[in-house]
Amino acid sequence: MADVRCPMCGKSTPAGQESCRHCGARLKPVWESKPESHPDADVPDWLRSLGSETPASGQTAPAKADASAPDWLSGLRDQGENSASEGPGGEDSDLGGEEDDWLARIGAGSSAASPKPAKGPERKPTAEDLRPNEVDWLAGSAAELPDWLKSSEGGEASGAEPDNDTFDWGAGGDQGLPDWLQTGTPQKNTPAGKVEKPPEPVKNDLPDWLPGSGAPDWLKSESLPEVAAGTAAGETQAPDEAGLPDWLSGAGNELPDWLHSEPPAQGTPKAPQAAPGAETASSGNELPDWLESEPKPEPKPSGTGLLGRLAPPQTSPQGVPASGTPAKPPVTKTAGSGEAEEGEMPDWLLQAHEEPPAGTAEVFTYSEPGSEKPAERSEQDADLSAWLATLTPGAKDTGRSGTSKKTPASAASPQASEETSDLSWLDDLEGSYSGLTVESDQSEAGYGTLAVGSADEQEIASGDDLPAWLAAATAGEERPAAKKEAQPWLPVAAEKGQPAGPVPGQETSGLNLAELPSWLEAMRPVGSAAGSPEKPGGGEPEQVEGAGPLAGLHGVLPAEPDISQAEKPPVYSVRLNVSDTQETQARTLSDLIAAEVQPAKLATGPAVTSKSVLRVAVAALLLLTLLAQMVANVVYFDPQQPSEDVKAARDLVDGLPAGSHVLFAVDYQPGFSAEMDALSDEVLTHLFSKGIVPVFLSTTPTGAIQAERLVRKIAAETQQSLSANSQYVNRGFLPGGEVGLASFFQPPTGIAPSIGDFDYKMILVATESPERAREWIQQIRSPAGSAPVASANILVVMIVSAQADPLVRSYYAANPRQVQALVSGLSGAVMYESGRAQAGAAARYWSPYNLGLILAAVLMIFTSLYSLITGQLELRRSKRQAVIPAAATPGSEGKTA
Amino acid sequence: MLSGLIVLIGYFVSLPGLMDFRAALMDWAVILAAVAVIVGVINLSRVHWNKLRSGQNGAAYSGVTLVFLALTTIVVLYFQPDHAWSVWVFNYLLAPIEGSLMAILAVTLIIAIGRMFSRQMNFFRLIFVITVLVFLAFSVLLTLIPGLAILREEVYDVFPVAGARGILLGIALGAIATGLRVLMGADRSYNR
Repeated sequence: MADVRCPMCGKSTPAGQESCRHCGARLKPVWESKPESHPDADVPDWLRSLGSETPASGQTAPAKADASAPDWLSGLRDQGENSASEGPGGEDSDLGGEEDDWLARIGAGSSAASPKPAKGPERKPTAEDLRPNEVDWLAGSAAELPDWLKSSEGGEASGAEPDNDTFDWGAGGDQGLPDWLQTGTPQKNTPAGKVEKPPEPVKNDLPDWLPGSGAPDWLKSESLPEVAAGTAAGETQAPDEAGLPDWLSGAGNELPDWLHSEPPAQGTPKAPQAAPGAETASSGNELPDWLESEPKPEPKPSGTGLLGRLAPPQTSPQGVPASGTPAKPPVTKTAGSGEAEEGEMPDWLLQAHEEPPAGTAEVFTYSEPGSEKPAERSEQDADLSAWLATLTPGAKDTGRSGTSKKTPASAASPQASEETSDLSWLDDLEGSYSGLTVESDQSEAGYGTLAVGSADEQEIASGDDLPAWLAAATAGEERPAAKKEAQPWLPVAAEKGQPAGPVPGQETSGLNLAELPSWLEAMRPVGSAAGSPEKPGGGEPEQVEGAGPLAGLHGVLPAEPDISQAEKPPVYSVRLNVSDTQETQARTLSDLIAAEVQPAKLATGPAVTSKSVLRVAVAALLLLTLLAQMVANVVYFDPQQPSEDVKAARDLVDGLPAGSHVLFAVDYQPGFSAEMDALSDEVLTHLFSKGIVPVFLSTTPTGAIQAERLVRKIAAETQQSLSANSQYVNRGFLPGGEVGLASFFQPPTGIAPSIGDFDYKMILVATESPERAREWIQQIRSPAGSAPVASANILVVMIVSAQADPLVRSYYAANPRQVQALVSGLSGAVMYESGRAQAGAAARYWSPYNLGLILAAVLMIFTSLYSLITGQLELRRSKRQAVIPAAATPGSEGKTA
Repeated sequence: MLSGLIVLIGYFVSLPGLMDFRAALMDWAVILAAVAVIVGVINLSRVHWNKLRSGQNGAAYSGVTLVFLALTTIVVLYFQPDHAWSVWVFNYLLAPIEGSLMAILAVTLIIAIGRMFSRQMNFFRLIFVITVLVFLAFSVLLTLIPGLAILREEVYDVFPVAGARGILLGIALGAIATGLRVLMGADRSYNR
């Protein structure tokens, strides 16, 4: 069998035992039958007891009887029994790990000081044992008892030890108690004076153990004031007195006034004239003033215990509120209590004065203080926390809502008032969570209202003893319906038709909403907050944060943003903050970029201009003149005498032997073929006439065809057949330009033509380009030894156009001559031809050529003169126009004058 | 650059191995130049073909160019350059077209010289116009006036040769400087 570790001493004890064998601490919980009734173990028991409701419907008759008894009595009973049964160590068993420390300290301190011996018979299982909402701190042990309770118990035994345990309410009896106990504890007893005990329930409320030997004397004497008061008032209290045990009936004058103020049975309020005498006589000087000013009991239809007061009226078997009870019974005041003493009363007690019984109230309203009617609002309301009032279902209303009906038990619940008035920190805590509780209910049942439930709700109430604000803080946001069920005793304020919860934006008592520091307020999500309210079609209502730094803000933390923000997002302005200058510059840049893609318009001028007319006129004049001369075939210009360079060329050709090879380079463009063909034709005709074999070579692609064309033309003119490779050789095209020429003058490699292919006696170069003529000359005249043949001995004759004459002539004019002969232009061809008897093409071109030159020179002169005259006139006109505006200005006139 | 140095050294030093290597390098250059001509013809054909396909302005001229390029190539390659058809293509297509361009040039030059004075008159423009007119007129006057023949050599041999030699000297110095810069890697040839 497994062992169970003691939560107190840490030692193991065999399972199945109820208490620790080492320290005696209780191992099994008292309410083992209902473990589910403690869902929140962190909540103190006393707080759970405050929020507890009516026991389950299945409770037995003793539970009903206990329900009518005050809880504090039950607690005292438990305390006494526990202390009696468990002895010194019993307090530890009740003070579990879930007990509050301060309570544990209190209990430990007292128990250590005076451990109580066991008293009375062994504890019987009562309804308090089955109720999870019992006030554990009172039922824990005798050591936990406050001094005043101890003193009351000691009062019962004052006959034995009057010096030690004398209960002194007014003097030093409360020295060891905390303040809240000093002020609140008697209030637990005062409800007895306010509670109306029906005849039969009163009998049943008194458990069997009370009249037994186990009941303390002070408790026995508790009921005496009631009896005495009833007797003094002359009221018929037979049923009560008959049901009272002896210890109650035999109570003497030591009973405090609050016990004297025990309400009579049947809900009948005590007569005001009965109380003063009896209470004054019984209490004497031992009673404090505040007790003397204790309000008189009010009729109470249900039981007088805390459980009975907390239980919903409709669920409690005996606590069904009597709807016919008077709304506000007269308040019984004790002797000596006056208006002056009323100022010394605690606030909660003053509040209790004005509480109407309202026994028919079934609705609890969580009302905003500001919404209360002024007539019903008392000045003590501000001190009483509303949350605590809501925790007490039997109280129905502790003054928060003046419009709601109140049960007598709730109205006369000094125990709850005592706890709430002293536990101000709970007020603050409640205030912080009240917003959450109320706001979450807005969408369903209105502000701070909940419907009083049915049987199901009663079950939930019995099982879930959390107060409303705790339930709302834990699960209220997620399942409001469940929370509603969890607080069945909370009435529906909507039935009253007035909101009671804190309205957003309003200031609740004890809680100042929306007091945020400036820096934190500046961090508020303004965008979401601005865009969220009044959303059309928004599914989720805005919530007002009730706790934390965001308290008081609306809708800053939406529960489901994806759903709640389903509407169109807000549109923000995208307008840039730019100056006028920047805007102008941006517009200019935009225009420039747009203009780049626009096609530029072509400048369209007149179709016929002076330039085009002049061009056509010059061309027509030249053509007509040349055509006229060719048609007329009139020779106006005789051929010139051959010059020295031309004579050298003829002499060199004449000096070549027949059958020798000469290199003839045809390196001119087809556009110059008219002039160059005339030159080449004269020289080639002379070569062919001498039987010399020309080898054609060209550095231009068309050179080979041009060479063939010359041969065919000469053959046609001379009426002889010229066969290739025998009378002439056409080597075609020599690529590479200048490099090709350099390669040509290198030893033959079989790849490209070479000067070594034939024994060239002369090199004739026909070209119109001065550069090409220069290349030929420079490559032919390579240094000695670099060429396989002695190129220095090769004759070079340049047949060039008139445009290349000046450049080639410099080589001819050099000393030694780099060019041995030079035939240039049409004039050179005519001079070369002049030595022969047959006129060639040069002679035919000579006259038109000269005529065209003269005409071109005349046109140049006339057009130049015309342009010169018109240009000068335009210049003078422009200068004159520039002077006239300057003279027309006033300033210039003044200067001139 | 090394090949250029080798060829350059071959002009001054006659070494057997160096001369052979120099000759081989120059043959490679001739072959590469011939291939470059073929590559040029192919590139010319591709450019005009792209123009013809894109249909842009002048596509018709590109079509004419491609047609006659193909025609000339086929004729010359098939019939050889010395064939009558090849000469016919030259005589009746190539020579007249280029001759016409030269005729237009003559007319354009006359008009350009005549409009030269309409803008602005300065010393250099006057010298240029006078020189052109003298050379044109003098060639005619020499034939018309026999006494002026003694001036012909003075006019045609002295002034033109003086100017041409200056140009040739400048060309020679520039060619040397450019050649050395190219050989030393400091510059690139202008035609690359």
